Amino acid sequence: MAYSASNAAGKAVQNILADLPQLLAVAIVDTQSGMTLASHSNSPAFDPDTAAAYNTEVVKQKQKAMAALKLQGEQIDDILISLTNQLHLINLLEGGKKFIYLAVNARDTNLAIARDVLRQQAELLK
Amino acid sequence: MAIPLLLTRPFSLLKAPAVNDARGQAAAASLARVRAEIPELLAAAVVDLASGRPLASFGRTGLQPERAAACNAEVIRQQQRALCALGLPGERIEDILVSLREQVHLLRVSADGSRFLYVAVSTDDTNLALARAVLRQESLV
Repeated sequence: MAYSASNAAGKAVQNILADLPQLLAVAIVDTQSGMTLASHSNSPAFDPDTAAAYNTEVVKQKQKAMAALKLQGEQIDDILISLTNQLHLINLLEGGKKFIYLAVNARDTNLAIARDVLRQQAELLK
Repeated sequence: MAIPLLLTRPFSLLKAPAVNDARGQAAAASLARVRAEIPELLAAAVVDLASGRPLASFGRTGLQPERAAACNAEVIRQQQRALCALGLPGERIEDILVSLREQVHLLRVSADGSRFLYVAVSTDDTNLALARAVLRQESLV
């Protein structure tokens, strides 16, 4: 367990775990540094800190794409990555300063449920 | 009499296939099918993943599908690096979906992994599930 329930990020991880006990990994990440504020993994092979570091680059790349397109008044809300058997979700908070990263098995959790759970926690972290 | 929609829509620009060979023509045919399914889409492109160069593209005025193509190719490559680093066996990227305030951008990698299809739609016009279904269908062709 890499979180403390005494801070907001830790509480969010705890709440997400309560809603989706079968999740693979979850992390609250600081976008600037790529480091996790709180994280948890249910699979020893899945390191949420590594996932956080790499996904930070995905977020930054997408932010660059948005800047290049000069889309006015638009902001990234979330990014969903569907793999063969897994879903990875990134929900951006505070205009992209932090994000919640969640990996679930596509057979256990559908996309709509996973998105809904993250949106609820994103509200609490604001 | 109010003229519905027609006048409120900006003119659309269909670009000729960027690459005028069999791949370019297949890409243009693919885009035509996607446009027939989602006529209200904002921008679309079939992009070579390795180079980020569009094989065919389409965009309403003000959108730059070529530029988006290159940037999105980098997003996919970055995600592939993430998968490598995590060492997830048997997993490949099916699609990537980016929700913005008023738009949804969808990227779907082709079955052989050499190309991807990029579509931008307004959330007012198209729902996510529909856009995904059309792209899934197209990636199987």
